Amino acid sequence: MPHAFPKSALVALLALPALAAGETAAAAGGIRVRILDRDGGPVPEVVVSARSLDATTALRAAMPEARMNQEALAFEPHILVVTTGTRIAFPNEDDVRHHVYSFSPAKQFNFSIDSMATHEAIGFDVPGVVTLGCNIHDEMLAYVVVVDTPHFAKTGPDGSVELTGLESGRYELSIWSSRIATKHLPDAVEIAVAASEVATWEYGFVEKLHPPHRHSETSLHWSHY
Amino acid sequence: MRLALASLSLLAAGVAFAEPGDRHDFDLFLEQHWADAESTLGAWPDGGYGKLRYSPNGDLESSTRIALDYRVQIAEQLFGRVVVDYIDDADEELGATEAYVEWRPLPAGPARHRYRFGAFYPSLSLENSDPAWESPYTQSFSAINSWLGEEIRTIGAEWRLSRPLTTEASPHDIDAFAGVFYGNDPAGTLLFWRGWSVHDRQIRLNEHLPLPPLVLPGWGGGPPVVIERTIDPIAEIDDRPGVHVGAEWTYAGRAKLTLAFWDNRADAHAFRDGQWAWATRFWHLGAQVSLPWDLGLVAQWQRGDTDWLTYTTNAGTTMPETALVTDEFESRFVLLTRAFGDRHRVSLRRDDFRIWRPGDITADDGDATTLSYSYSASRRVDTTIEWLEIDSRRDLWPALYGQSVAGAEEELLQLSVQLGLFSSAD
Repeated sequence: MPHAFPKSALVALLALPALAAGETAAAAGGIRVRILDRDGGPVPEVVVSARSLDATTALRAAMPEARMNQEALAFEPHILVVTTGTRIAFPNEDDVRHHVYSFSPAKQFNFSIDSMATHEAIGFDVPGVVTLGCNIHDEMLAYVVVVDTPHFAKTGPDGSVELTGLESGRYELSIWSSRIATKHLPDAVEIAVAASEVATWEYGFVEKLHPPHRHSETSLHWSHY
Repeated sequence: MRLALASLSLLAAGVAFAEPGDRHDFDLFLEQHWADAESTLGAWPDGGYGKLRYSPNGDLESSTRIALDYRVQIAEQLFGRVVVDYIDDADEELGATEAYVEWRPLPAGPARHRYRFGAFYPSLSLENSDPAWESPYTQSFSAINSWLGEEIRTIGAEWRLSRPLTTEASPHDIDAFAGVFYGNDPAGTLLFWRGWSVHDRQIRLNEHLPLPPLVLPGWGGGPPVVIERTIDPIAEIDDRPGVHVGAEWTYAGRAKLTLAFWDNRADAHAFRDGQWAWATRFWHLGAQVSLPWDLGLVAQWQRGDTDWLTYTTNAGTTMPETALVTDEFESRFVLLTRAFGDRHRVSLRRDDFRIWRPGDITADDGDATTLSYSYSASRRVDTTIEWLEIDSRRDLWPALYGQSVAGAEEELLQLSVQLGLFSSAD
């Protein structure tokens, strides 16, 4: 399957070899990714994942059990990335009940969670984005991003992140952000990773991003009794 | 007083300890007000023409409200809410302002439905977002929301449709709502009789409010009739349901715009149990925006009319049909607010209001300025000091009142302390 670079959206693609720190025998490579908005500002909380195009066996390395907390009437984290097959537990640290649901195609479920209780872990076996809501608290919102690779990370406050420990070879790199419609996300790009080197990739969104989700109060009250 | 306190405390204690608390969610608080009012008109809760809640008697007036806002999960998708309060300067000290059940079916796709059944406020005010319909910004509500608190309550059903949090990222949330209600036929009476007002007094279900005495021209050259009575704004008189519809747009928790229409569809000729129906309808527009420097802006606008067509006497005699009252009313306000950390808040509100009727008669025309500062010493104790000034004037029937215009400058300095007694968050 060809991986054409998106013509409209792609601002820069650099796969320049760089010297990796400490050339050890393991000789693992990496990809450094930086995501910018259309004004050149950093975009944090972007999910970056790289899937090997050379691996002969499917990488279905499920992570240890993950957790999606509910505290102060909000999901924590707002965006949780897991590998396919990972099980996620739902601890409720609030003093009220929650009723978590999803009607996303990648995983549909609903269950109530008593206060200070944890709903047993459930498996997320299909790659995709699962949107979580609470039927008791309509403002609560979170995303579980299920990726089919062990190589993933979220960009930090500077819009950058580095995927490390990659074997040399070709990778398909994808990004996802909750702040833009899927149709405006760039197509996956192919990146070659050489042993002991860090490839870099920078992407700038052409479309305007939505403001980040926030649940904390400012000077105004947004949810009513 | 003791009985009321005991009842509320028992209720709260029952709520708190009857079961592990996670199906219950409640706030119980005590609010004490001290007010110094200046006005040439008497306070409206005493049957005066004034727009203030407190009498200008030269002394410090005080009042107490103890309110319980209780929310319960009855079944997985069924919830209940009751707001009861004790008000020491009300004739009926104990009452309930809202009592309803809400059915929240689990969304199965890109539409979220919510249904409310019972007695509740229609979703109009952007000011009254605190428990028990209090305002987090000022002690006194805007003229619009003071009136909603006095005369408007839905006893019926409301359906709300939301475009939910879908997988497709979008900062836009759209809600639409529609309701059908019984009761609320006399709504508009107090507005006509007294004019707009600015205060924090909410009517409870089945409570009567006093009306200022009104002199009406006598029929057929007879002597003027002085009507002195009370109003039950929530009563059903003509057995015709009223409706309200509206839509709400929210942008990323930063801006909100609402538009609604409310109509009690009252038969303006109807009279029952000493209460007249007033055909009242209005449009309502609301906006809320987060501004730079963490300033918040809240604004509402309302315009409508109210008709009272037949003069039916207290004795029940119906006079020939005539357009006795056809008033148009309008009010708007802009509120600026800024929270400084978790402890301090300053709010400034400007209200503008009027009521007019055919023949260029001004039934009420004025404005109000409210400046409020709140300090939260802890999560349980809030102290608010508020200054309120209202200027207004109205045309009178010179033959009856001996003067053609009544103008009033009213002022209120108010100190309020709200003490959280119990909360499920404790």
